[in-house]
Amino acid sequence: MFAFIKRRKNLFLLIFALAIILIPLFVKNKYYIIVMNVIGLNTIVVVGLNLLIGFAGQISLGHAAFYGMGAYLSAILTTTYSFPPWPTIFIAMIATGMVAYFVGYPSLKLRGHYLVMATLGFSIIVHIFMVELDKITGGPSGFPGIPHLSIGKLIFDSDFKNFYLIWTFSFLSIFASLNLVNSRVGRALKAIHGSEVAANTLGIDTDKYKTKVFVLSAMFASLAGSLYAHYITFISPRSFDFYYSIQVVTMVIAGGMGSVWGSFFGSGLLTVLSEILHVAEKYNIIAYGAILTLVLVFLPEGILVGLYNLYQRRKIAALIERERDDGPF
Amino acid sequence: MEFHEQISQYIVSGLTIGAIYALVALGFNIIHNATGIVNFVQCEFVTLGGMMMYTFHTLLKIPLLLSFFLSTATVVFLGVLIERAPIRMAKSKAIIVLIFITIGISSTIRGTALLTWGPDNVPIPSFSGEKVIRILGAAILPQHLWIFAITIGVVISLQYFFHHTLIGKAMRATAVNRRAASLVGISVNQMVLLSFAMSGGLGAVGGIIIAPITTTSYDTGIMLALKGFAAAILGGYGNSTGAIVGGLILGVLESLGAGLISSKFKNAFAFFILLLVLFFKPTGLLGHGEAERV
Amino acid sequence: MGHSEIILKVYRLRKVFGGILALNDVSFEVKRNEITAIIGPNGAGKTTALNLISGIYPATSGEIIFEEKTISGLKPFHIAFQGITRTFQNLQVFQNMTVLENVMVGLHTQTRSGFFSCLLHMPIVAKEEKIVKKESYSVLQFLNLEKKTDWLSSSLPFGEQKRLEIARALAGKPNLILLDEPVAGLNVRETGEMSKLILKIREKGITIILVEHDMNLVMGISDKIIVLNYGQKISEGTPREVQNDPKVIQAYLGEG
Repeated sequence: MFAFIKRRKNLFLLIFALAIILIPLFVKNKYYIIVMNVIGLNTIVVVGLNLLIGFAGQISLGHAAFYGMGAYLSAILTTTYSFPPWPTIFIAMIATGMVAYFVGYPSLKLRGHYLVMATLGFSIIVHIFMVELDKITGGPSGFPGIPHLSIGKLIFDSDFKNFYLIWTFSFLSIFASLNLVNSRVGRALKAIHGSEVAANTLGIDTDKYKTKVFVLSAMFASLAGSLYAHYITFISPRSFDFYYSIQVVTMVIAGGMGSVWGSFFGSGLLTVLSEILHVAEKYNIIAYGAILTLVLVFLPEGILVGLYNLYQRRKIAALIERERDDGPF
Repeated sequence: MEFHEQISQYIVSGLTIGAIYALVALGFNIIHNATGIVNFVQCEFVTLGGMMMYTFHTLLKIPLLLSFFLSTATVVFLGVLIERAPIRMAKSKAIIVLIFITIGISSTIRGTALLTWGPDNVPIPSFSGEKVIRILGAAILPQHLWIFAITIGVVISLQYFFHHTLIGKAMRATAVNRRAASLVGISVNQMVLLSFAMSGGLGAVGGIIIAPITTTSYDTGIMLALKGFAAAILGGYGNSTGAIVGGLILGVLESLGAGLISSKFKNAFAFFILLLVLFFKPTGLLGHGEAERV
Repeated sequence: MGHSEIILKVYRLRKVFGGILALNDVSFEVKRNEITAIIGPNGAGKTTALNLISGIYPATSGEIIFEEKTISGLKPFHIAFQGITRTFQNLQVFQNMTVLENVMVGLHTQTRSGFFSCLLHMPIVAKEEKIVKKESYSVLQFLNLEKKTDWLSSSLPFGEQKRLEIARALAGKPNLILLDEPVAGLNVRETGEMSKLILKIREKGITIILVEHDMNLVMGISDKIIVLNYGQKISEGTPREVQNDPKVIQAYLGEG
């Protein structure tokens, strides 16, 4: 199926890296760069979420909360308490990971789909905290004045500079995911998805693995959140609501559950769609809902894979038709 | 207001909203028992109950009782449509995919509601006026009494349905063991269809009867339904008595929490309770090992 | 790691499901490197016994001792690390993975790379991958499936999928393998091949517990047979002894 891409994994990574280096040299329109930066941030979240959904077969509707935790922790610690930004990103990832552990482990031990509701409930609680703890978070009007990231004298204060920063991390996320997927751990996750009972009898501690991949996906989201905070220098609870959780889930599904490159594709496609619909923002909800539903009903393997399979089937059907008419010889 | 009067008030409003949670929880349970999925469209069943009431009764001036039935019927029809179309047509029947589909449908309906009615809250008139009655120091509106009465009526009807009609027993049989049920001639597909219709009805009724008190909008259903789900878990997922007990307890706890501890975090209470239940007693108050370890 | 003759001891094993007593104080011993079959009419408790030994659910009471260690109460993944693997009555091959990948999962207990190492593709990962691939390939050769390593396992014919499940269970170098109805759904030829395969597995020094309904197979290759009925052990012994036991005949044929 996409074994072609799998075997040439390093080639595609190389092309990807080259594209990242070259694009800002040719694309001078700031708006396009900003959109691509958003795609980059979403890619980090979606790639992580895909590990949970596509491989461990679990659903989370709470990744907006982890994204938001990364953003707020970085924002508050670096602005109010003058922590150094780079270590803070790391601290935020660890903290978010720990919280994810406490939410995830009890839910994942249970048979059935409890993680869905636990993450949804959790993300609503987090959102309420973001709004109501306004002394710390700035409340509904948001939290301004977040410093840009910098390395020595180089300050990441422009969209172009942030492009390189963000996409370096997107690249690393994809790279790490690909490593994970094609390894012992990746196989164990796929095994859990294939048959949890059998996986257990082969020595895989399924509860531990499911929890670890959930924590990992939360940490990816936290990283993206921190980068977002330092990029835009202003955050508000509106960016971290239930609708964002639905958006990233839709990106995973559209790109194809279980495909790392697919996550990048899904993130790109739907971020662009969002931008197009930005003119009439009220169409966002119905658009995402419709896409999610249609893809799941008709192309559950994802848009690319689904269309590819459809094309293959048409080709084979045409071949059979021709053989029937001409007769095999 | 005296302290004990305040408590009475909190308890009354808690029981009121708790009744709605109970209805929604029952809706979740019915579909879960029949199909094994978590049905996110339950959120929209609740929203649409209220919004259709607004359309029929407030905008089109159709009389109350007729509007009530029309609204409920519309949502029931929608439930049937959803089961017949996207759920039936889905290429993959994996539970994770079906749950995702309900998430997608829910978003689609919500998006449509936003485009149809706009983002604002809309009012629905109370069923029989606003004259306050005082019982044990609490101010009770006629609408509260309607909510209690209708909920009790619905619960009793459901009890009768599930225990004294053939179809109801068939549904219970399907929930216990699908294969055995189909082997004795029960059409599992019809049971699934029926479960969607009933959940639609329950959600709609819940949305309709609470709307005069809380007003309604394109996304009121989300909070109500999610808390209804929390109530279902609290009472023991899949257990109908649990749904009712869970709903009422959750409503009261939430109301007391908002009144006595903090009203800013009111919405968070229900979800705190949900997480606590999942952590410490996942089978809920009345459940029997439904949420077992793998 | 004692090398006593008895590799597995089941003592007064009892399992209650809701209102049903599936196993009622069953005790038996399994000798090392022998083929022990558990037979009995439907509902006798055979699969329940296998599930208890492999840790799928805990026993209500009783003990299971493997290689002189108590394993009753351990989770399935722990038991895998003790050296027990199994196949399933309702075939639990990983449909979403290739033939080779299925077997590679079988080597999970023999490898150690964790999340951190795999994410960063540390050297240990590359090293283990090479070893795992090689060993998986040779297991597949043992089961005559090496020509289909890159096939999606769901596209294999049924008989080969059953062989694949056994390959996966063997990859982990178990000391004891539990086969749950290995020839169910196979035709006569395939059953004969499976028979030879099970004997080949015994030749490797592995102990086998077999749950089966096919009496020809069971009588043909077993060293010892345990007969269950309604959750109780009603007979045990060599194939000849069990075949002539009137209690067994009565259990299978009903009254008289």
